Amino acid sequence: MPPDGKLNSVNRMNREERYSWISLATGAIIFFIYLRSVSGLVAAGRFGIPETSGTFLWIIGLVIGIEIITAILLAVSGRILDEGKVEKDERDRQINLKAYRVSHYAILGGVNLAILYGLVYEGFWTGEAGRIPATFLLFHALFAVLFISHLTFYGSRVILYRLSL
Amino acid sequence: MVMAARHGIHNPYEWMKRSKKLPIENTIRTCRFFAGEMTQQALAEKVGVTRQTILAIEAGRYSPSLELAFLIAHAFGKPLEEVFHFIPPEEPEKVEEPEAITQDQPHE
Repeated sequence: MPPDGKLNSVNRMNREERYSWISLATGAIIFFIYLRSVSGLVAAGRFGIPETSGTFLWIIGLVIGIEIITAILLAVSGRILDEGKVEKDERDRQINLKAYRVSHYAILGGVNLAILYGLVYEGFWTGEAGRIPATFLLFHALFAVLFISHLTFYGSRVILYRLSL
Repeated sequence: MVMAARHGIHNPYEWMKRSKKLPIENTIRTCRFFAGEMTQQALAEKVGVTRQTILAIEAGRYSPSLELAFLIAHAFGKPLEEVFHFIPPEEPEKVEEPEAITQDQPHE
């Protein structure tokens, strides 16, 4: 346990903040990989269910795998830094609630944008938006909205931790 | 950003931190000193929070719940008001209104 006055930025963070940073970074990387693979499918003109579900499943697998690795790393770092028994307290819960509120607005914004786009551009619903089928477009638009809200959640948590609520 | 530059702070993150003034001050650092240089970790374990929460409260960046404030004061064996102080917001200066002219007053 380092003395109070000699803390570096890493052990100034508690477990939840470290988790937020890792989730934000890995989430951003996975989102980038996902966007690249979807744009690859669009470029190749492959809009079938096998391709779409294949992309979706390996992204989900990647997220679960990274979650497991993150949990192990956090448990190990917690022991090394000797953080004590309390892992989560009232400040963490308040930050969580505020971050949920922000990510809720991200979902609202994304869904409303999709609705507006649908209203403005009829081809979005009839499957004539360029040459991309509507189901493919809708599936990936909603998945992207969920992913962005996930990133917003962890981004908000990081900001709130840095500002300390 | 302009506001930050006016105050001589060029890091927006630092400006956001400084601009967030809480109306509650505390004497936790002094109390820890008089409690035999109790560490933040020891106090955190006593009241059941993380050390980072104690650090944030001590630095005046986080207002604890009433329950946690009582627990911290209890950990030092002091009443709440000796550990936490409320700073009332500055009231705007009152402008004295001129006295109303009554009918009894003589007219010129």
